[in-house]
Amino acid sequence: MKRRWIGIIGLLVIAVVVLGVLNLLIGTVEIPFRSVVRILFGEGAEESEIRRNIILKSRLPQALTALVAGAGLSVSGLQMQTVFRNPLAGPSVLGISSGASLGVALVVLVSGIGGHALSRLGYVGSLALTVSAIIGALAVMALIALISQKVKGNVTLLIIGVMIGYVANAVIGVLKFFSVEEDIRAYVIWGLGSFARVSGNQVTLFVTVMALLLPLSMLLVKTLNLLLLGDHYARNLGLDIRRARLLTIGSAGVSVAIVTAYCGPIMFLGLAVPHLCRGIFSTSDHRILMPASLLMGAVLALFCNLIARMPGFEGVLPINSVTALIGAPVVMWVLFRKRKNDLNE
Amino acid sequence: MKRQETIRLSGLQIGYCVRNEEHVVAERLDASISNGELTCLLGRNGAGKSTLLRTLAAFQPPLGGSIRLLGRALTAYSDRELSHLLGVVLTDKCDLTNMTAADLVAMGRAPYTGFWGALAASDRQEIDRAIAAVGIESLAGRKIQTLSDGERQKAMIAKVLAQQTPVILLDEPTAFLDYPSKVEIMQLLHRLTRETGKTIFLSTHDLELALQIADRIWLMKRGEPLITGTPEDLSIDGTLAGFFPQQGIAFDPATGLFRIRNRYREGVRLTGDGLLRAMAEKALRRVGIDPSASDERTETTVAVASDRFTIQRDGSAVECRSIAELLDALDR
Repeated sequence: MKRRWIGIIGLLVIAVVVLGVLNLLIGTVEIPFRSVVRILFGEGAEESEIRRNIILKSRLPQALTALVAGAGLSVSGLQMQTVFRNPLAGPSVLGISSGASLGVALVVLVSGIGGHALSRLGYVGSLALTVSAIIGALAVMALIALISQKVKGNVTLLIIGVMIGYVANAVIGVLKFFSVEEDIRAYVIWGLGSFARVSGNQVTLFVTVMALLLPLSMLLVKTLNLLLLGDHYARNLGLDIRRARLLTIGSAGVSVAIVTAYCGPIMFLGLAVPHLCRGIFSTSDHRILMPASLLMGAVLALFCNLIARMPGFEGVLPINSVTALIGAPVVMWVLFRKRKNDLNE
Repeated sequence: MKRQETIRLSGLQIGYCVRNEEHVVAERLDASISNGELTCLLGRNGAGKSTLLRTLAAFQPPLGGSIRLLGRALTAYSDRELSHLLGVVLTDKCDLTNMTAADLVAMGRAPYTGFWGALAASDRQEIDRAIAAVGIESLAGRKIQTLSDGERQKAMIAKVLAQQTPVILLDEPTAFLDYPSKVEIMQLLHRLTRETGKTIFLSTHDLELALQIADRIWLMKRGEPLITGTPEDLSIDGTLAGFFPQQGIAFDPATGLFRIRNRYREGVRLTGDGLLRAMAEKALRRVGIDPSASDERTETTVAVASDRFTIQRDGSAVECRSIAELLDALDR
C-alpha cells in the first residue's frame, strides 16, 4: 500500500515537471525546445528579443503562477474540508474569496465614482488591485478567526462564513450600480480569474510568499488527522481545538487570500482536488493527502492553463471555465470508479 | 488486584451555562468509582446521564462541587495530561471514510506520538494488542464505512484501549447494536476491568444487561439523589423495584431483573413442572392469562405433562401438543 502511494507521488512529481515544460513550449508563437532551454539558462543571446520576452515575461511567470496557485488552493481546500468536516467546503466557502472581491470592488468601483477610472491607471492600478484584494480577504479571515474563538459548532461557523460572503456580494452589487461601465468591466475581468495577470516583478514576490506558506501548512498534518475524529474525540486525545481551528483556518485563509489577490477567484480546484486525492490514494491520512493535494493541484492548474492557452483559444477561455470543464468530469469519474471498488471489496 | 477509588464526586452540580444563566440538570451528586470494576449509569432519558458523562470527561465544567480524578481535581488537569489518563467512547457519529479500522485504532496513540504523528515500534505493538483485546484482527484492514455498527463500536473501544488510559468513559456503547453484540460489548468491557484493572464507567439503557453484568450501578433520576450500589444490594433493599414506578414494568425480586407487567383478563390453574411448564407460564402471561389464579377465581386447569398440555374445563378435557394449540384452545 505504502509503496503504491510513493509510486503515485512520484508520478505526480513527473507530471508537474512535464506539464511545466509543456507550458513553456506550447503557445501561439512556436518556439523550439532547444531555444526555450537556452533562454531559460540565460544563454539566449542569439535568440530574438521577442522570443525571450515571450518565454521569460509571459510563459514562465504564467506557469509558475499556475503551479503555486493550484497547489495553494488545493491545500487550503483540503484544510477547510477537514476542519469543517464538510465535503463541500472549499477555499471560497468562508467568504474569504468574497472578501477579496469586495476589496477589489471597493478600489475599482469607488475610484470610478470620483470620475477617475482605475482601470486606466495601468501598473499602479494592478498593484492597487492586488493590495486591495489581500486586505479584503485578510479582513474577512480575521473576522472569521475571531468568530471561531467565540462559537462552538463548526456548522455555525460555516454558516456565518457563508453569510459574510452574501453581505460582501451585496455590497459589491450596490457598488456596481453606481460605477462607470469601464470599471465594471475591469472588475468582471478580474472576477473571471487568470494566471496570466501576474506580471514579471510581482510573480517573484507571489511565488516566494507561497513557497514559504505551503511548507508551513504541511506542519498541521497531525492536527488535521485528529480533527477528522470530531471535536470531542480530538480533544480527548489532547488536541487544543480552538488553537487547531485558528491555525488551520488561518493557514488556509492566508493562502487563499494571496492566491485570490493575484489570480482572481479561481473556482473548483480547491474543492475538487482533495476529493480527487482521497479517491486516488484511498486514505484519510493527511501525511499523504497534504503533499498529494499540493502536487495534484499544481498538475491540474498547469494542465488547465495549457488548455486555456492552446492556439486558437488564447484569450477566449477564462481559466475558471477550463478548471470546471476539465476537473468536474475527472472528479466524477474517480468517485464513480471508487464506489464500484468499494462494492466489490 | 487492590481496588482503589479513581474518581470521586462530591456535592457535584452539573448542567449548562447559557448566557450566564445556569441550567442545573442534576445536583448533590456524591459517589465514587473504583478501578477493576465495571460501573453502569442507568436512568431515563433526560435524567442527565450524558451531561454527567460529559462533565466527567471534562468536556464541560461542573456548575458546582468537585470531581477528583486520581486524587486531583479534574479541572486542574490540562487537556494534554488528561489524554494520558482518561479515554472516551462517545455517541458522536464519526463520519470517517477512507480510514481503515487499524488507522482508527492508531489514532489512540496520538497523545504519545511526536509532531508528525509517526508511529514507533512500541506504538504499533500497543495497537496490535488493543486490536487483539477486542478481537477485531480480521477487520483491521477494512474501511470504517464498511463495518457494521457493532464492529465500529469495537474499533472505537480498541482505539480507547490503545490510548492506554487508566480510566475509560463510554456513553451508551451498546445503543444501536443487536442483542448478541450488546452482550458481547458488555462482557468485553467487564473482562477488561478484570484483566487490566482499568476503571470503566458507562451509561446505558440496557437495564437487563447492566443488572446482570455490572459490578456497580448508579441510578440517576431527575430531582432525586444519586443511588449507587451493587445490582443485588439495590434489589434487596427495594430501590430497583421503586425505580420505574410505571404501569407495565415489574421488578422480579427473585431474579433481580425487570420484566413486563401483564394485565390479566382471566386466570387458570397451571400444574406440572420443567421447561414445558415454564414456557406455558410465559405464554399465558403474554396473552393476558394469569397462570397462578386461585381456586375461587377460576374453573380452568392446565396440566403440563412431559409431551402435552391438557385443559380441563367444565368437566371436559382438551389435549394440546404445542403452545400454539394450547393458546388457540383456551381462546375458544
